[in-house]
Amino acid sequence: MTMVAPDLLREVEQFLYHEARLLDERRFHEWIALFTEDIHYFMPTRSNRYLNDLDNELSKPGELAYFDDNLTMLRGRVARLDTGMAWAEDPPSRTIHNVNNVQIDAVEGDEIKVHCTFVIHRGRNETEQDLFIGYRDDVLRRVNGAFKIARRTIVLGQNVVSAKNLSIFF
Amino acid sequence: MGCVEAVPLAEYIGDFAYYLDLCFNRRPGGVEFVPGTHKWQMPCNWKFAADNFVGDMYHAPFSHGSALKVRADAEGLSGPAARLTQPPMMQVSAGGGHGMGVTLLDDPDGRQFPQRPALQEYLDSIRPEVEAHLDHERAYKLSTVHATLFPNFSFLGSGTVRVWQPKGPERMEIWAWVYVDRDAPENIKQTIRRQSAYNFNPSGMFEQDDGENWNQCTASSRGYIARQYPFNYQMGLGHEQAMEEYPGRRGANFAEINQRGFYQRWRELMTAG
Ligand SMILES: [Fe+2]
Repeated sequence: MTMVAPDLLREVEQFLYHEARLLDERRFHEWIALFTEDIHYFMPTRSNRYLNDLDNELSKPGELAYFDDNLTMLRGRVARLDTGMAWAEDPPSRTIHNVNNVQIDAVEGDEIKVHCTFVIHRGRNETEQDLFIGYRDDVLRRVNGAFKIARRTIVLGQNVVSAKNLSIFF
Repeated sequence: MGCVEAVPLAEYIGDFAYYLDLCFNRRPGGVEFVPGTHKWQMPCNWKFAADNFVGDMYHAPFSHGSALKVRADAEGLSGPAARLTQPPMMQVSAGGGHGMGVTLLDDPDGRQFPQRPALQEYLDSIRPEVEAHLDHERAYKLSTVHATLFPNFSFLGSGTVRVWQPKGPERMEIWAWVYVDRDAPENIKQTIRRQSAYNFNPSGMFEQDDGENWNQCTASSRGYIARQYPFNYQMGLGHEQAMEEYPGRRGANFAEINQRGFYQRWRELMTAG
């Protein structure tokens, strides 16, 4: 376990909570501004493997993923929501992003590796409900004194995604 | 219980083999699959998805208005041109319930992938090889847009392949992959993988809105009034044509010829003694 200054951990936690709240309040333009130009936003596919084959559980960069976005692609998703024709999000999902178990794994120069778990509840239409539970590995980078997200890997607990879509952000 | 004799696969596929080859057998090396599988569940009747892929091109401008607008904005297009970046197409009902939406490349304004010059250059570069391997028509005149091999195997020319697995009433599970030409250069494989998955998977720029349709169509079919009326699949009825140059029967791009073929085959099997 990496011991870090309590102030730094607190700052990281508050940044992640702030980001989660931007998503829950649908402030996507402020949210997309939190990413660096070289962001890789990645959610691998998962597959059901025996213990001796667990190295192949997650797809790797270059293989098939649920999200494999650079900044242009991520901006395209936000732009899609602005068109007035993004039917899967109109009426919009009602999300609560819970970010938990925040740990700093490493501090390397301007960059901080952060691990956390998440529980996201999504309510939609009259009775639709989804739970997205998993973990995230982020790389935060200090740019002009403020944190930006330079890498994000999102891993869901599910092998078969039980939701009809992944129209929200993680 | 009687023994059911399955027809040989080639006979089952029938005339549709011509179009399967157009998609999966363009180069002598055939295709390979990118590692990884998209798996997700959808609260819908699986036939809405098979129906969508077999012949529903007319949903695209409206259902995918958001993704098409984002794409057009990125290309610097505006006004009506922004919605019409597709070259002309036709729907082909190949018998057996199978169908494909096919691009007609011989139109002088036809463009497949104007926003991706590297991919366009690759497709143009292999045409002589495709001609030698298949024929002139499938090298220079036709390309795959969307298709269903009856009943639940669907694919797009742009890279996605999926199986719609019924999971009981109002539930299906989708398994989806991305295929690429085995002999394509690595950068082209990566371009196809990344773009196909960006548009088609549960998070896909296009697929999100398809899922919403299939889910809501299933839900609204359940109502007391909706149950009393048949679906209307008349679009293009009476305008179907036999073709001399290609197998199958042809309908306009926006027509339900392929859905009629799909459901006629479905009815034959469901009502067979
Ligand atoms: Fe669609």
